[in-house]
Amino acid sequence: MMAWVEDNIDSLNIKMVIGVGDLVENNEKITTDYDGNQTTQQQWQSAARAFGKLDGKVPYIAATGNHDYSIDRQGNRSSRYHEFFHPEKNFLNQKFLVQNSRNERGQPTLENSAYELRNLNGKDYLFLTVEYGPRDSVLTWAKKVAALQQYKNHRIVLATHNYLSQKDQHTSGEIKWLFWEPYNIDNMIQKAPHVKMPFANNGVQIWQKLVQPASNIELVLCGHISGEGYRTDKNVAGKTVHQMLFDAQSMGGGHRDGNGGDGWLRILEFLPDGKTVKVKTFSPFFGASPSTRHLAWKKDARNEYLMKFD
Amino acid sequence: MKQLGIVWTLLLVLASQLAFAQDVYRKPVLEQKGSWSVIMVPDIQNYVNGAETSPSWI
Repeated sequence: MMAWVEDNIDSLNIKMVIGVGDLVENNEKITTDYDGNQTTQQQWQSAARAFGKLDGKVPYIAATGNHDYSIDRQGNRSSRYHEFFHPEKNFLNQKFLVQNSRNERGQPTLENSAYELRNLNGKDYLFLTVEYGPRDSVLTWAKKVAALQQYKNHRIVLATHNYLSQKDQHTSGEIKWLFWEPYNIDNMIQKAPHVKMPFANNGVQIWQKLVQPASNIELVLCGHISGEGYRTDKNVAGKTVHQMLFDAQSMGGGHRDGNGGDGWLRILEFLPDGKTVKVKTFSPFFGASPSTRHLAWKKDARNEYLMKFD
Repeated sequence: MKQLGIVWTLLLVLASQLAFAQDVYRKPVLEQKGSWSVIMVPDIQNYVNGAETSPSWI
């Protein structure tokens, strides 16, 4: 998938790559006998290596998902994300990085960050990402960034993990994550208590606290829930906000029993009119072989459509 | 002669299948000159087949 992206940077005039979170399966695993054969260290290395194909060639956002965090009994989160996705990894990320905040441990990382790309067919863009279940302080930071005079006329694209459902609804309910103790008994992953993460926000709250009040966030991309979703709403300025879910991890036989998503990705073509985006869903995995190429596109209305900015 | 006919029939079927597959598949290209693109990468999660991480397609 990432090799295909690398090969098509010029032909598709790719200006940004956005991963919507869940880079790894488990952020706290040091054994190899269950739930996959890689430790957390190896999983992060693998994800970093995959994105590394793009280093120095195109900027990218790698948002964080729930699987990218561990929590303690109080629901406070930590992640090894910053060890593998640091600002120096891709000098193009560093070149376009204009804002960042801190993670829950108080460290300045890319988990909450913004990248400015100017004059794309005459329009300036700010690509903004906030952590999984962003804390109140993060939404406050992001809202302040969006409201800065210097970005007043930018079009902001927001990437976050948990925002929209496959039923086209903003996600609701308390933000929780698993605290395993112990994780594995006789090679069976144990049911674990879901612990509420303090100050974390769901999709409804992200809409209410950040996206709707901002006049310039016009596109939101997310993952987390298997399937596709799409909806539009009007923000405080009366502009249409396009909101898209795409999560392929259960395609190809299911999350734990399948092929992990068969390499499906989305191509968002921003047309020269500055208003229209063509959304297409493609699998380089299927596209690689003549015998599977007929499976390489999803052409139904949920997977190929047009979005129009106001 | 009958066998030759079968071979020809098979070849014709194969050729039509290949033509059909080529027709359905389109290489990703920009639809308009002057466009630019964003690639959206969904949850990778490094998980496949329950026993192994890092799917081959990553």
